[in-house]
Amino acid sequence: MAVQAQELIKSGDVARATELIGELRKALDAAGTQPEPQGTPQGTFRLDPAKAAVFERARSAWLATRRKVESDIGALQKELASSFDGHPKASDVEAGFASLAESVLNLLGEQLADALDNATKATDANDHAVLVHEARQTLQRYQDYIDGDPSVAALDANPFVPMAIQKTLSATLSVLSKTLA
Amino acid sequence: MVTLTQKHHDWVKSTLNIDTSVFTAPDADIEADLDRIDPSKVDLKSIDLSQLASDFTNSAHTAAKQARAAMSGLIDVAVTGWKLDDAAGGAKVLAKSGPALSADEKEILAGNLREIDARVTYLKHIYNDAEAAAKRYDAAAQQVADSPDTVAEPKKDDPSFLDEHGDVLEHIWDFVNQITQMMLVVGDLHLIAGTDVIKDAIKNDQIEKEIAAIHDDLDKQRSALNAVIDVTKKRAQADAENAADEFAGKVDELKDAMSGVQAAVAGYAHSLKTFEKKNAGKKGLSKEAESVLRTYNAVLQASVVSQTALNALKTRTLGPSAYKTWVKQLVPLGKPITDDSKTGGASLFEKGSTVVRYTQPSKVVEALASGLEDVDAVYDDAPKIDGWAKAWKSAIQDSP
Repeated sequence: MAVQAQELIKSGDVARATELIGELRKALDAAGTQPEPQGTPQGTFRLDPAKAAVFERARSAWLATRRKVESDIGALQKELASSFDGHPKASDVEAGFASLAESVLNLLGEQLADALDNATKATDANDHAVLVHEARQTLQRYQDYIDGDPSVAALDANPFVPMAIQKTLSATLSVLSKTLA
Repeated sequence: MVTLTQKHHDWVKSTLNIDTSVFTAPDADIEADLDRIDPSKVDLKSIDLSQLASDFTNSAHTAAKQARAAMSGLIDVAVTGWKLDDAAGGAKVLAKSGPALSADEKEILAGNLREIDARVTYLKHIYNDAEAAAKRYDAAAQQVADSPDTVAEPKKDDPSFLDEHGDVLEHIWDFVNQITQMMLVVGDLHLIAGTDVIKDAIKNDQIEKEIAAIHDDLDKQRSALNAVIDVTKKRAQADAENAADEFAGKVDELKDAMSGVQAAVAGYAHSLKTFEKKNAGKKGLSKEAESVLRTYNAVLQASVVSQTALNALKTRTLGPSAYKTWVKQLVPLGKPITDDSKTGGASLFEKGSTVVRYTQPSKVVEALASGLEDVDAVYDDAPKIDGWAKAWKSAIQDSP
């Protein structure tokens, strides 16, 4: 019934969807009345499991994306070392790129994953709200860095190994931002 | 490993602020350069074909230009002693106004010049063929390098899947969010029995099916694409191997053509040497002998040996053996006895039991010494050249 209602919403038939929702409400009412919650005492807050699952998937998605970026940068680092092997400035290139890679990966760290994890496990509603806000801020900081710092674009423009770090990061952050909206 | 080109150096400089392009390989000696273009000594597939083609083209054109300049210089030198007659259909023959050399001798010299001309013309033709083959090889190799990699199947948690199919997954995420919102509209469903059943149904029946369908569709597309990539790559590799064989063959032809030019030039020099020996010291031929010597002198003064030939040597038109032959043929002018050139007179040089006269011996000596020093600098391990250089330096010191 819920699925049908969803389809009707997607197709624009709001009136029929509303009817179905009403039927669903009756069906659920018939299943028995549960006691109304009397607020959320301090320390007993528990995040909606559906929302928690969404947060967990968002966290996994970010960690996987970061691993992908780390892997791409590692491949480029390896290719650079190989291509400049024997070159008089090979050590300079190696050190310079290591510094750049460290800088990018540090700025795109695991803070977002930590914030999402903490928000999921929060036992206090206020703490949860603060942690979600923190996650949104971290996500926005990542997006600003990707859009504004030339390092990521330069990595994508490298002529050694084809990669699309900026696109990967932006696509992931775009999806994640909707889950935190 | 990629072969470094300017675009790689540019990226390193702009991204890491490190200028790697200013460093080039140490200057290799000529023998090493020759090794580099010898297909029997290098693996053509392991070197930068683009750079090789560029080097090859530049050096080939320069060498052709030098070879033709050397030939023109020789003809000019011949004109100094004899006049050339182009009347007979463009064929260069020595006119009778030349010195008292026999008709056969003149014809031999004219034949030498025609041989050089023909060899250089052929060499230029081969250069063009080899250059075209090098470009085809370069293009074929680039085609191989540009061949796309096989598309691998992404893992379920691989973010590249998200990257490549972000729109679809975004739709799924939206779907989940809409369902969640709808549930919130209905009421606090998380507190109502049966919610988990509904969510599981949504998860199992909708999202997983959509993901499975996407994977299935992508698998089919990926399989078809990989088949095309495989065929394209194999064809490009076959083309590159054929082009490499053709290029190597042209380089061999080029080396043969260069040897032909060297042999023709050496033949002309040998004729001059032979006629000089034959005529020198004979009564009534002193004027003619002097003409021959003047020719040698003009050759030296025109720096054909010390400059043009050396340039030809450096640009690989002439090998070291040919250059040594040239110098060896022209060096034994003798030891200076008197030098009256400063007062407008001639100078006498002793060559074995023969005394010969030179009008400008100091320039001859300077040109020879300079040429020998140049050769010495290039081939400093050649004992004979060392000996010649010492002998001529000694001759200069002994000169009055």
